[in-house]
Formats: sequence, C-alpha cells, structure tokens
Amino acid sequence: MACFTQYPIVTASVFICVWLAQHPNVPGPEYRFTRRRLTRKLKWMVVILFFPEFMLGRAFIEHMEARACCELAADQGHQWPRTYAYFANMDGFLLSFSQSPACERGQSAPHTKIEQSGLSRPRCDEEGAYTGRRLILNGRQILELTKCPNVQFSRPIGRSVDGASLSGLDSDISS
Amino acid sequence: MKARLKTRARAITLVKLVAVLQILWLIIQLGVHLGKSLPVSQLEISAFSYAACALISYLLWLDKLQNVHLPLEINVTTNLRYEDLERVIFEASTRENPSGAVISATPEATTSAASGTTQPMTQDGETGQGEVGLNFSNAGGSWLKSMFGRADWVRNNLTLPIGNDASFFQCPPVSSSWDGALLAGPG
Repeated sequence: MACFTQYPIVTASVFICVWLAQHPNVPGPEYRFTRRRLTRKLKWMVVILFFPEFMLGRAFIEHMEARACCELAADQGHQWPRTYAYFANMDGFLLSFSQSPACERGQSAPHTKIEQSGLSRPRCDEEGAYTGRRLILNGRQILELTKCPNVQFSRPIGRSVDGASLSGLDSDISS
Repeated sequence: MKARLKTRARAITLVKLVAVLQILWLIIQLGVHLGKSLPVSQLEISAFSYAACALISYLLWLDKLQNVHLPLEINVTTNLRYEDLERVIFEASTRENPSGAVISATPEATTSAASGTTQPMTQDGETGQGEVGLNFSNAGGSWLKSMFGRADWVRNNLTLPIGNDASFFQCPPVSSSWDGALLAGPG
C-alpha cells in the first residue's frame, strides 16, 4: 500500500525534474507556434528520460563555454555577466547586417539559422551584397567581431568595465 | 519593451521551487525508509538519480535564461568583405588559432591577411563551393533538425562554409574515404 501511494509522487518527480531542467536554446522562426515549441520540449524530455546524463553533460559544457566567453570578454575590456554568455551561446543575439559591400556574386553566405529552413544554402543577392543578412552567432564569434575596427554595433554588446554603458540585453531585462 | 521581455524570458522560479520541494520530499522519504530498514524500490532510486541530475543542471544553468522565444536583434554596420566576415566568424569558432590571423581592416587586404591557419578540416578544392562536413540542419527532417541542428558545436565544427577562394583555409588534402564521404554536401 505504501508503494502504491508513493508511486505518483515518484513518477511526478521524475517528469517534473526532466521538464523543468530543460533550458532550450532560442528557437528559430519555424518554432513560432507554441505547439511546436512544446513538441520540441517533449522530444527532449523523452531523450533525457532515457539518457539523463546527457542533460548533465550539456549543462556542464555550456557552463564551461560561458565561463570561457566571460574571460574572453574580460580580456577585451568588456564586462560580460554570465547571463550574456549563455544568451549569446543559446543563439540569443541576432545580428542584422544593415550595410555591407560586396561579396562575389553567387557566393554562398555563411551558415545561418534564420535562413537554413530551405534545402539550399543562402546566397548573396544579384548585386553581390549581403545587406540585410541576419546571422546568429555565438559568444566567441560576437566577441571576435567586436575586435574588428570596422564593425559597428548599433547598441553596446557588452558593458564596459566601468559599467557605464548597458547592452541591449541589460536594458531589456531591467525594463 | 515589457512585451518583448515577457516573450524573451519568463520566470518560472515558483514552479522550480515546487519541483525542488517535491524532490526534497522524495529524499526525506528515502531517508526514512533506509533509517527504518524498510525496502526501497528501484523506482525510487532511479527517481532520486534523475532528481540529482536535474538539481546539478539547475545549478549549472542558473544564469541561463529559460523559455526564451525571440532573439535580441542588433544592427551591425560593417564594410568588411564577405570573405573577411566569414573568416572572422570561422576563426572565432575554432578554439585553437595558432596563426592569430589579422582581421583585415580594408577590403583590399583580404587575400594577404589569411595565412598560416591550419585547420583540421578538409576542403572542397575542386569546386570551391559547397560545405565541408556534416550538415544536420539540411540532412534530415524536422526531428533531426530540432535535435541536432541547433547545437553550436555541430554548426561551428562540422559545418564549415567555404567560398570560392579556398585558399582561406589551408587544410590538409583529402586522404581517406571517410573524408571523401564528408565532402558529399547538399550543395
């Protein structure tokens, strides 16, 4: 009898743990419907039910990567809280290139998540420019871009060391 | 702005708290069973292991936002050439960058700046176009796409976009059939 009464608690604990422990990345445009996002979480839940250590390993890897990104940012003079690094590595920053000159005509553009829904990779338009291309980059890539002298971000991508300027993520969270 | 915030990060701290309480209750029950020399079922032990995994993941992912639905869009203005941008992005993806290749500030300096980088990937030297590596995002259905297409590691290490000028990546030649199989990209 005791086993019978404990059964729901035990099973509920497992399912709630697995459901809540998921921290999925920012979904692409194909997941704009709630039903699809829920389906995605359900699929991951099935995987984690069979391989719980997979989630643990992924959490550890992402944690180490976020720490590394924070250190990289500190080396460059930015102050990146851990949340920034996580947010960048979970495809949170969508960089929209508003103006850029020329790449060669027909050349394939970088692999982007936004545009990968088609079967073929995106290519530059007829003029050979990739103006309007939107890239989702991870933390290391964004930090590398900030080192380029001729890349200007419309809003600060990280806090300066004195904390004077806030990034877009900061203002969004604090508002 | 508040609406954007709501779609970006929804706090479910209360639900997590309930889950933690339930896990604690499970642990207390297990302890009482062990203390009174009562039998402990295998289901309870497995549930405890799941709970331990989940708790450690909570701790590791403490700073990660949960249930973010929209990315944060940032406008970037640049006059970098496409190849330079691609190279910057690619070199940032690789952990080891022995060359320390200079990011060219001017479009004219493109071809001279990329040198000395030895990447462990192969290249499609004949056509100069296409992809090197496995591309999960284009390979399978939506299930595979959702499972593997999102992983940064897959995107950055197994999917290497290369352009017409293959000399940007000085890669070892294709030597094995395994490498040859990898070259069969969708493009």
